[in-house]
Amino acid sequence: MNSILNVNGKAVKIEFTPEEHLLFTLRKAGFTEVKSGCKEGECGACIVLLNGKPVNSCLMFTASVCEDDTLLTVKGIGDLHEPHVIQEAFVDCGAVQCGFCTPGIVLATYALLQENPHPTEDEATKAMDGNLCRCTGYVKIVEAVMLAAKRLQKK
Amino acid sequence: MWIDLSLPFEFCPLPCTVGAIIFLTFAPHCRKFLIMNKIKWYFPVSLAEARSLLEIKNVVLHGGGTHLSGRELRDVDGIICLRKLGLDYVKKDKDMLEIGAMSTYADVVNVLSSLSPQHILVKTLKNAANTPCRNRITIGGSIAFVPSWSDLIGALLALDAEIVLAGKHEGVVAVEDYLNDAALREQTLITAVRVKDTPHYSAHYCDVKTVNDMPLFTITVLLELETDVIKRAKVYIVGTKERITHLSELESYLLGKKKDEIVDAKVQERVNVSIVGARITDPEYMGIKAKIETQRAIISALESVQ
Repeated sequence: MNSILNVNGKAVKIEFTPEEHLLFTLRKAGFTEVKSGCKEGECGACIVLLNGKPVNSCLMFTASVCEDDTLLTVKGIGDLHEPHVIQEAFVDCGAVQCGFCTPGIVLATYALLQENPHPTEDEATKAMDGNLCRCTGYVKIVEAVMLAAKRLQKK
Repeated sequence: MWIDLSLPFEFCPLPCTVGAIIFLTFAPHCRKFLIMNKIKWYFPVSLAEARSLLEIKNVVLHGGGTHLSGRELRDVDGIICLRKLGLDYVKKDKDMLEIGAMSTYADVVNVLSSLSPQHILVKTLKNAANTPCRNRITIGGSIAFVPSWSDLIGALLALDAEIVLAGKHEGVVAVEDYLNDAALREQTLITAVRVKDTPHYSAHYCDVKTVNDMPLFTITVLLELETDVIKRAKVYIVGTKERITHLSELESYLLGKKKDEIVDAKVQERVNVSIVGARITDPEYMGIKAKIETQRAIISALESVQ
């Protein structure tokens, strides 16, 4: 099958099999920042924003994504050269260790702060309920979310 | 020369021809890569079109895809995607709510949080699964593929929900009838769910096992009161050996009582369920836990804000 996906604001031509999952299509197309973890919707490493909402790309068929849908990966909000405030907050708080879960967590944070710019710590924790991190113990991640919220409010 | 294909083949230790024959003979999971059906996707834009597509052999319905994407699709020839049918809505009409089958858990929680914030569906769905899954799991899909621990089904049963069907079994059926009659799924799709939106007190308990991060069982309590006296009670446990247990004896005990007339021990002795999941837990212990959590859920419901 062929289609055009709108990823990070750009139209991307893709080829995929009818039963292919979005995770693998994106990775094949070079979006390797979308990580392949548990492949059953538990770990959140593969999270992308579909029309602004976090979804597990491992639980989605590529064919179910339409051309008018918008997809955002973590590189769509900022990269090494121009990091987003959230990404900077994660670095500043030491909320990244091995980094494998970080793309998904940063996107979950981005979606949370778009919807709720002033989250409480409880709300931040709840928003991360679809993300697993085996390194940090989550404390620094929640600190990073709160710091990002604070910095975004000042902007 | 070595086979250099996808994952299942890369561990093949034998030279190409012999290895391929042995591998494909004894590893059925690999055969599917070669004998894969050419699945066709359909995107109907009207119910009439969807009805006619349901007559095609070996087609399955696609809502949010969270269940289907993890399923074996070897016997599937076609997938009917329902997203263009306009079934993602929540409507309120007097004392009734109609929820389109393609509404996600997140949609329902968002809309009902302003329309009817104390509704039992808000309590049950806001903590179901996790945030990214709630953005994909649809109401229709959850009814069609009821997981053993379903967060949704207890609430729908307690609300005496009706399921609106299109296709071979066109019409409106009680959720209980839909669950008990597998024939209703043949060439039929769920278009909406209708539930009452009358004042009620409710509580939802979900027992999650960390061994697999999946709920083991859920308890749903819905009570209607008149001057502090319980006039209607519904209590369901989902995830039992019978899959769904309706605690009608407990409901009878609760009727006509005020909160301070409810005796904890009498509640617990009316909760006799066998919980599944012997591989990951002790069913006897979980049975005792179900008694205690049901009693707590009743108190929690009575103490909740209407």
